[in-house]
Amino acid sequence: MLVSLHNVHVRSRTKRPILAGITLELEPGAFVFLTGPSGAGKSSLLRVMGLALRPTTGSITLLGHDVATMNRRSLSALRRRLGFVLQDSRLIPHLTAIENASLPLWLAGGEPEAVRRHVTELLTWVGLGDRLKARPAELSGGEQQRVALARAIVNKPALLLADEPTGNVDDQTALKLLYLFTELNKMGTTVVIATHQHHLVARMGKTTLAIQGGVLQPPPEGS
Amino acid sequence: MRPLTLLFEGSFRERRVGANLVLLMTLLIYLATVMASLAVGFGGIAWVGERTIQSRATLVIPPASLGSDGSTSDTLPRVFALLKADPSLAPPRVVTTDESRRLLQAWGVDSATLADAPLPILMDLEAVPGARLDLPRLKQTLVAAKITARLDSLADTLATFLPLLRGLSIAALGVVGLVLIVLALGIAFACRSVLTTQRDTLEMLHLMGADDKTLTRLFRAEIRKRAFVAAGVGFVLAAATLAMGAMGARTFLDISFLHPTQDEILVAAGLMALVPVLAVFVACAAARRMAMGQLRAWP
Repeated sequence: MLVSLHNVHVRSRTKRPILAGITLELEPGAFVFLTGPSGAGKSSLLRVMGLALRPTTGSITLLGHDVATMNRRSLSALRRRLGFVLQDSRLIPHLTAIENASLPLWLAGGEPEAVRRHVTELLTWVGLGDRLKARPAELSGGEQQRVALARAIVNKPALLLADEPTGNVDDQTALKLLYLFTELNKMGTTVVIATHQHHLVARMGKTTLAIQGGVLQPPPEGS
Repeated sequence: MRPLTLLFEGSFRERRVGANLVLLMTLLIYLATVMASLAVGFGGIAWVGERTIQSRATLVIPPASLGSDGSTSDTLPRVFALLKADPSLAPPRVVTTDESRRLLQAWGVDSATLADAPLPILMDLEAVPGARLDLPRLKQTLVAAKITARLDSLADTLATFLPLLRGLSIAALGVVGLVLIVLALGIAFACRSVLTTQRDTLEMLHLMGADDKTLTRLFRAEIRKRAFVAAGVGFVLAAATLAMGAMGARTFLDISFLHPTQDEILVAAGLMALVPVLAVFVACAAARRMAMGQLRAWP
């Protein structure tokens, strides 16, 4: 299994349950939509899978590693094998598109010329070949998300986690983005997307997991 | 790719936080360097004084005891003979009339008065290395030889003065310590503010796999860059201030007979130059500690 969560609980500081008894397994190459209303626990579950949120109890095995036994340094190394796309692209305003997308490789100490070549190819693939030097303020919401996607996959992650990646763009741009996710999945990347846009999910025809009140809902009968 | 300088960008750049931080560090480093120089200066003078007063004295032969025509008659040769016979004393040095005049001028006596006034003969006495000046015995010897002369002990002159210098030196050193603490706190608060304001960016980097060390290095690099600028400017300003004060210090050293050696001056200058280096180290350490402490709270 690529991701294995067993009886994961997350509580807030005020002891309010955020995730309650989540057990989930994802095989390599899976494409899963995580749906549910706002505050259902989608983002928290994604953050647990992305090692950005520590569960209160429960066990997590990610890419074959038992997360509980890992030190901070190893966790950072494991995070480099994951990709994360958030609703607000969180691009660094004063860096250009190519610089933003290069960040993970820069952090990993990549050779500058090779990084530039690779990231240029990647940005061309997401349709931003002519916007390499543009700063985030000069890009549209959809373009910003494509830069964020390029940044998330620049390390060739085994698992790509996206939290409402289409939340700030129109439906046409959202479908284009989801198409890119599908292409990545075909290349072998496991993809988990949290969204509340049911109409888009329905058009993609992929596995859907529903979450409500921090609890994963059983799939509807006959699905 | 350009170096990643994201901590003082955005709203920080708009509010000139980075520039103000350099200004704050410059002022603190300037203050620390000046205070450290005073500490070293006062402490050094006290140390030189301590070392000197045990082995030095001045023999004053009043004009009245010289020949009626102002000549030294046979007094000087007799005094020389007596002093040379003492194995604990180095060969005495007679202070020239010009030197005596300059010295008196430094104390505020005007040159017209000096031109007419009969001057005493002054002789600098110094014990040979390892020996101690026994002034009571020397006085007895002079009295026995019926030589009218006065022995001025530097120890008596400086006895109350040296503890004051030592106290001032310790106080200045205390101020240096306080300034460095303020510097560390200032940097820590600035880093904390960056951590709060740039949390989204830092969290994104964290998600990309940047470990604590890498993120901390960003803080340290940004602070180090600014601290080096501040250290350079602060040191130059402090050196200029001290150069202006050096003229006064020289006069003070002349009239108090305390002359540090070239090596001692070099050591003092070296210690003074260490202060900005120490300040840069303190600033970087404070940035590192604050960043590391905050980041450890993240998953």
